[in-house]
Amino acid sequence: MSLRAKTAIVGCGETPVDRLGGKPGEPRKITSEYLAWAARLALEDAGLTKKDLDGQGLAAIYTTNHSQPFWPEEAAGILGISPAVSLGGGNGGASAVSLLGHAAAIINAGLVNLVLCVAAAAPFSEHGRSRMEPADTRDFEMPFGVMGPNCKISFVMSRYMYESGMTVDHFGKIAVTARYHATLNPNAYLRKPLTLEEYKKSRLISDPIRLYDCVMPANGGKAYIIASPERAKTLRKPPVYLLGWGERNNASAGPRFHANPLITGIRESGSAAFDMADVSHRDIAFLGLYDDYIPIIMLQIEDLGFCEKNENFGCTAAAILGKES
Amino acid sequence: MAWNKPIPNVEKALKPFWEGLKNHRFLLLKCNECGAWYWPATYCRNHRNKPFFGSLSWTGASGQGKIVSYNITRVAMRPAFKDDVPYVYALIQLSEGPMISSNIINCAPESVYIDMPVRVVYRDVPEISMTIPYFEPDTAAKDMHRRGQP
Repeated sequence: MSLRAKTAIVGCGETPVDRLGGKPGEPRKITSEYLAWAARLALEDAGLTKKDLDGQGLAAIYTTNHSQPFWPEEAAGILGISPAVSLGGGNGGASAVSLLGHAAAIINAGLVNLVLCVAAAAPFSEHGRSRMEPADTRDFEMPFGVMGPNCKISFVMSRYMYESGMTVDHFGKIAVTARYHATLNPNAYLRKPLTLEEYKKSRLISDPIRLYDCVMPANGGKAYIIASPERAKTLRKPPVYLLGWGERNNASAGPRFHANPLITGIRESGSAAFDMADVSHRDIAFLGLYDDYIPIIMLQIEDLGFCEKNENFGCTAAAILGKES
Repeated sequence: MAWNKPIPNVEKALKPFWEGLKNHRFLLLKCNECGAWYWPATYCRNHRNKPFFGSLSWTGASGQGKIVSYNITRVAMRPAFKDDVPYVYALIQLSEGPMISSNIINCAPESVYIDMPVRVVYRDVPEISMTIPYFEPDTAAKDMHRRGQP
């Protein structure tokens, strides 16, 4: 059963992002404030009130600096709503897209006709109440001096460079392009253009990962609302229909620890999304990639089928991504 | 010198692995039906649902492997590692197939490369009653390991 054009996004909300609260005297907002702020912006965008969400769906993304297993319940409490279906997003940075499909499925099944999906984090202003680490991180990374995702992504980058011959200059071109796109976004935190020289001079953190390859933690909240087509037609904005979606976890079907660092699951999930939408690569005018780390952009472009594996790397990527510098 | 690095938690499922290290034995899980190797515990993918989980036995392995990928930490985030930088952390494909990760020691970080043969080094740490598995260049090994996934 396809979810093609059976649900639509009807509103979204994005708080400003900041890195405040870690130093004395700086304003401090906690996770729940960003969560409520993003939810309110999404509701206003859609022309809804939180009363409209009672008996509807809530999809709450687990927040890493505040993790507890009953987070969707706590999020409903923070928002003061009474959802009929609660979903939790446990796929890290992929959760918002993952929950888009899950929310569409419960709407399509007739359980609810609206779902609010919301995420927030305040790593600078609110230190974790109980930070839970996966067992592999705790037992086989931290004792060996591993620093979280910087280290894991440097495995990806190192192996990718080895297999493809891609160089630091190629990765730099992608970083420059990604930053150029940030300059066009009024809500981006870093809006000053980046040069290839600045990229290459940035310090090595977990070699070959350097500072400007890294994900940048920030405080903030994001939310969107998805609705059935009937409900969408009653709201103020033109509905944006979901045409295709795919998800794949543990793509190598191996043990949880230490999978091949270049296997992402995007080949399978991307192909599922293209099939469901019944569109081809030529139909895609805008590509919103997950740009947590620069090498990950490259893996996505390849695994989504926008260029051949290990072919032309940086040049192809920059051409696909748009302006080069 | 006191051990000030994070201490691995010995999970029940991996207790034999850590006990083996204390005796300087490198144990992996081997399927009782077909002999395929795994680490950590999982189900053997060569069969249908039976056996699903548990028909694996801890078995002595070579402790040798080859580097799949690695990185060099140049900025230590925790004080316990400040004196160690720059240090290498590598993803290692063991000769039997499974992947493990650890620091590569007893060599210059710049001399490490992908496909480098490595072997386990047992470091006994009496303060925490554990033996921590590090790896070092396996100078005796010929280039006998196959590249890629098991």
